[in-house]
Amino acid sequence: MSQFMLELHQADRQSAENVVGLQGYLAPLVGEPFRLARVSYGDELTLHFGDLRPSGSPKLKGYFYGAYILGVRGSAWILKSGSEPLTVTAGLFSDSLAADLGKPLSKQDFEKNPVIAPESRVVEANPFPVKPINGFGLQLRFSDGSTLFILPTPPEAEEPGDEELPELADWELLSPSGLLSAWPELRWSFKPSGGNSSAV
Amino acid sequence: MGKKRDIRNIEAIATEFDMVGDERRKFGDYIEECKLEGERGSGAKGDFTYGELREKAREFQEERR
Repeated sequence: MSQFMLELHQADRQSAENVVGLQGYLAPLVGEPFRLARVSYGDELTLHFGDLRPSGSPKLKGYFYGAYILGVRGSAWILKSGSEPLTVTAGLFSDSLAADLGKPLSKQDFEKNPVIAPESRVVEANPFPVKPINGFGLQLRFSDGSTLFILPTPPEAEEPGDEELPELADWELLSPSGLLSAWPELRWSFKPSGGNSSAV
Repeated sequence: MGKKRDIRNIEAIATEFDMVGDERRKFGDYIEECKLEGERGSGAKGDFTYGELREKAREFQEERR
């Protein structure tokens, strides 16, 4: 069996400073209650926090959106329950290996029971460098003991025409104050709602 | 089609149609809902092509007016 070790910390001073800046923009998420999880287009996991508002779209009747929306974009993720011996993951293992590790969970079942207890609050939001990928991961800890890890994955092989597509963030947090994005190569940016960006 | 490419396509179209804030998120959910309702595109495995996604963006914005 092949074994891999992911080195999650990097002593590099510049990335350590980047983490501090990034963590500052994540701070408003701490204390917010978890509301719902949704799997969006491209199998992207999104977690919604804070006050909910309806979609305003007839086709999306019954869809609600949190004041804070965390999107994992194309990254892998692991969600460990705080109340039962249960871990849900996506993107971390190949389909053939995943089939041996546990039962597949449908999108509908996951959205109905997203592992994190409703109304659990975010108690910690910690970004960390992931050395082999050279991107930022994110750990969220919840008041019910649940933990989410987001782990950036290598880029997909480019196909003709892809060069015209925008770069994809490893994860992002949409908040009332703006859009925080963690990018490959240990970069991040914050675009205030209706204002200028700041970036590292 | 790779999943990252799917999301990048949505991002490109969201930018072209000036979708900001949670409208980008809603557009992604709108496309996913279309698929759940059984709509299929003409791409591989029933994926929507880039042109079809642009049409969906128009439909999405008209529906919200």
